[in-house]
Amino acid sequence: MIEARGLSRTFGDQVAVEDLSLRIEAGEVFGLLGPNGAGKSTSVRLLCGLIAPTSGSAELAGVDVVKEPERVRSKVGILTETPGLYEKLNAEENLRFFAELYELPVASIDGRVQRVLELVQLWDRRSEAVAGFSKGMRQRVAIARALLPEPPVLFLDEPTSGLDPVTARAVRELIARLRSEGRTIVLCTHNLDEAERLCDRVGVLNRRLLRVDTPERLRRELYAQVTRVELDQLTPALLDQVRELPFVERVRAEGNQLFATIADYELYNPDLVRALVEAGASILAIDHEPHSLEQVYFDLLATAQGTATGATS
Amino acid sequence: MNRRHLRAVLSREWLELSKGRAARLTAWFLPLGVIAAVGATQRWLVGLEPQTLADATEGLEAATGDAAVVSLLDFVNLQWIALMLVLPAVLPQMISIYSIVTEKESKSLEAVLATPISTLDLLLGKTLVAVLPAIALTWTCYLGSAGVAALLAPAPVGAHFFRAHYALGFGVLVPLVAFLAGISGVIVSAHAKDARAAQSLSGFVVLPLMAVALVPLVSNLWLLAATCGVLASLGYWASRLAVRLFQRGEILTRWR
Repeated sequence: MIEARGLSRTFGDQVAVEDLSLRIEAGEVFGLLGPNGAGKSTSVRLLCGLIAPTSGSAELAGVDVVKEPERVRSKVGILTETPGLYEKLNAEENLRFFAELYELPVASIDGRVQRVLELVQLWDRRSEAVAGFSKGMRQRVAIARALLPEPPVLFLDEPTSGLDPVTARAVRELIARLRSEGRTIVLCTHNLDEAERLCDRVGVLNRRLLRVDTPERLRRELYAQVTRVELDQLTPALLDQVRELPFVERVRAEGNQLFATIADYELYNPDLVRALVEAGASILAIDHEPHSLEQVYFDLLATAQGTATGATS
Repeated sequence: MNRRHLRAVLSREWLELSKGRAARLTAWFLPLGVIAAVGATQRWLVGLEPQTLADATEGLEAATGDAAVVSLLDFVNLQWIALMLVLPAVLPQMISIYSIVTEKESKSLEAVLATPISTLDLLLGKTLVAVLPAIALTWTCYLGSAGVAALLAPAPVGAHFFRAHYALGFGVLVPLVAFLAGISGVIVSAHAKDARAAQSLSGFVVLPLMAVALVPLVSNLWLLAATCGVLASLGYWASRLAVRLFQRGEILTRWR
């Protein structure tokens, strides 16, 4: 659905995005993660034909982003970083204006405007000037605007940024619903929990794309899993026995809890349990300590910064 | 050029302008004020005492009676016409700068640029939003003034408003000047960081345009026709320049 090959964009001497290559499949929810200034918004603008790249190429739904940006823009809906609504106009007038710009069939405009406003639960407030709307309501109007052309691809730039928890949850539920409808969604976010819950794959960006994978695989690839076993009694002898198991990389103890670092916990956890039982231990509970996407994210950024520092020093 | 896009930009801008009190007041009071002032001038000068009239027309060719009143009114109306001719050089630039700067402040431009609208349609829309009301206001002032002059002054005074060079000036030169003023406002404000900077920069364009706008006061139809031709050509090139200078990437990243 979206394919970028070596996309770069500079503004004067400033490199905003460098050598971005990725492929996003139809129906996929792809998360772009990165700190402020990492080039997330610039990447979105490049991928949807809003700005031209300095070098590289990209296609969206088979259309060349550089050669036919207007056609590309007719296939995407974009939630920009700020809602950017016309304050003096009401929600319906705002959407009608964009319906004209997207050249929606005139006969369908009424129905579509009503449908998207109902979807974001603002149909009853359609006649009120946007100037009087709360931040969350504005964000919902902006989401309705992005959905108006019923685009196959949606770019959502920080959709829950600055929203209260209730509104943020409503927006996340809306994204989940859009995902279930099979839309391709590119989600730029700082919220790693959100990315983990909504995205099929994530890309960590810091001017360059550092890594792309599913949140789960990123965690697995970067970290061995830690299995936590709670025992009725943890003796030094038992700890030594566990340490000597071939699949255990590291062991530590906290009270009666044992933490064993195992290369593949799904494969070796049964062996660990068997070994403990055979050694006479009474197991009260067992689970594994997951590494969060947040940890992966920070480690990737730290590694990238370390590499950059190393390269320049 | 996509007419639907142009219509959409125009309708949206006018809808927004119509909701602003300042725009509504300007639309009503500017022509009404000018027409009322022209009417008051005609009434006042027609009713002058003979001695005052003689004093006032001392430097004019006409000697006495109605001829003196006509000469005096023609002279005074020339000043009004000059003022009206300057309106299209000033109003469109003010409106187009306001239009772009408002988009900048509300950060709504990115959402518009993200639609399939072309840069040319967007900029032409923004320009026409400023140009059409300015032309309408100028023509209303001109025709309204001619009307009150015909009503309140001796017969030739109203007819003098429609001398060939005035008619050509208002009919052709005014729209051309308005277009150049509007498109230059768009160019300048798309590159300026704020409204104040845009207005300062636009002064460089307004002053020569004001001078050009006064060409119809020189009763030389060839000069007027040549000026119209040059302005039409400038308008075409200014539109192309506006599109070239409108750097989406720079605007989206710099306008924060």
